[in-house]
Amino acid sequence: MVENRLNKIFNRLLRFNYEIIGPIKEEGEIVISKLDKLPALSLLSIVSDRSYKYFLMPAREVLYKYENKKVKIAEYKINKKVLFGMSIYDLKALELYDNVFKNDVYFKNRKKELFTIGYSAELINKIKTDFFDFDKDILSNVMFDIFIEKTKNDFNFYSGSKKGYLFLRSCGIKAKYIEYNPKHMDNKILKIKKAVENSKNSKLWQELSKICLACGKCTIACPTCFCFDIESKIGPKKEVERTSGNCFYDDFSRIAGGHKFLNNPGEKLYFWYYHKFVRIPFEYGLHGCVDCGRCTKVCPVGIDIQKNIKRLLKESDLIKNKKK
Amino acid sequence: MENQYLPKIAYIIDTYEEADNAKVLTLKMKNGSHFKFNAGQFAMVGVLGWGEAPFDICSSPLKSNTFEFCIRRVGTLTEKLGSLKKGDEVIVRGPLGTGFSDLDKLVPKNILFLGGGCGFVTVRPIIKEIIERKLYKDRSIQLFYGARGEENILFKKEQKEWSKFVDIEIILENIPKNSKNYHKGLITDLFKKIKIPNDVSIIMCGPPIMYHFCIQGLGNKCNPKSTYFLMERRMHCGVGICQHCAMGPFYVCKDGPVFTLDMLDKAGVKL
Repeated sequence: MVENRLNKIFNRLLRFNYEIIGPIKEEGEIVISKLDKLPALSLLSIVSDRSYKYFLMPAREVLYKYENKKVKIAEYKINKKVLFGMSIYDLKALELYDNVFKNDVYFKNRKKELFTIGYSAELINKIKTDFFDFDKDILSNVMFDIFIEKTKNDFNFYSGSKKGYLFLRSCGIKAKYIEYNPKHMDNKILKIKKAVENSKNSKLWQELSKICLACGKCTIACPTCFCFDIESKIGPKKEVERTSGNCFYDDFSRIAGGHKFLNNPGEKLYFWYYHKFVRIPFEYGLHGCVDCGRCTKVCPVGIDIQKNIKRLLKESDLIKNKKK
Repeated sequence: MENQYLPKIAYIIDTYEEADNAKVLTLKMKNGSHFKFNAGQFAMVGVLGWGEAPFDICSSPLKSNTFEFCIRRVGTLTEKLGSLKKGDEVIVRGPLGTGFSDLDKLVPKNILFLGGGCGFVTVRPIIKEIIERKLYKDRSIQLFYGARGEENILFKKEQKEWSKFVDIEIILENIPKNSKNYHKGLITDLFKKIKIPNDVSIIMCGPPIMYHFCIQGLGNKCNPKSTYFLMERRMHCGVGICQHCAMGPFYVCKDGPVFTLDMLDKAGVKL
């Protein structure tokens, strides 16, 4: 059985006392949670409903506390974790977090203890998305320790770090070494950036404003959404926490006195798209959307991010042609 | 690696009540460190258990052993801050944002301040720096200040001293009977009454609605590169990550809170 090698990897990780995190079916949803056995290949071959992001940035964490008249950084034990079965999209999201939180001690400490294992159920050079110019160098554009590619009858193994290479060798598995060498700002990213940047007057936002419930499910499902709040904990413990934020909720932009800067679902969606497709490329040279499709899948009113971006691209082309 | 979220402890060495239900807190760092900042910069100030929020630093940037904030009581945290006394501790994270790194290099040299509401607080460090560095000597400095009534005027006592170097014009919606010290009306009415030089840097500190009418009223005098606005947004991280204060490609906490008209145009902010 070719799967034996995956079992070998999994069991060896368990033996090394790694906490293994991956897809698991729970109440009809594929969530990302602690695994005690190798997940079925069928679970690995579809995009999970939930993403891995809360293992990169927990939904709630203590930043510091006030004790004996001193501010002290919160200290807690970080377990060695494996993120198992991450898709190319999830690995792109990891790359973004690595850039956004490059000066964040809490993220850095967590990342140090992470071992990432990517998985693709199809040949990687077959993966296509409308949001990136993925080419045959796709793996050099993502960060991972080990990547497993399913072929027709077998698997190909790749290592993206020394840690990954040594681990596979200890399992007796040969792997091709891929150096992380990201190509920043491909043409598709630039084209979409321009289309969204110039879309403020598009009727799309008014149309979406009428149907969007501003429920915020999309941002919870999104593997890249990382907005957060910093809040003092209520109660006798003098602790300050970082909790995940949501730009669809009214408090997000509200200031003292009650004024808000994002007032209807259309404005919120524009803000959300602008962050992903304009601000993130502008700041980090990366895309803020990895085209995983999770937000479209969870949206109760069927807002489709792919369809909307395609429409904005079309509208942007029309404006360009008119100018000519 | 420096932890961006860790505040420092400061204690209150002095307080006094200002107009408009505001209180001025003078702080000193508990560890004795100096607090160096530019006029226009802000800091996150808070009380453990009550949270933190952004406040503009309102003392002179030339003085760094102590520093001041003018806190208007508008919510839970500001009520708490307003209730603190000499010797009490607060948490401070900053200074944050950019501000004016060198006022002497402003082009054009002449400066017109337009202040209104609690945004007026930020005029104070800039004016103080101008006076202390004697920058008024080779340029005209005007301050137009609009307020509801005499009781809403912030830093009224100090303005007597400022007025030796700065042309201060105060316009009130309700002026006290028989008062000759004030104009009556809205800040934009001053544009017709008082001569403003053609070449002038304009610094506006007030509510967005004031910005809107001032831009209209000043017309061509508002050069996109030398008209500055103080922007207010909700903030959490203060270092351009959490997204609360994002404005187009900019963050008010990191790239602001002082923005030129040019930058606001680029950010798609309509005033």
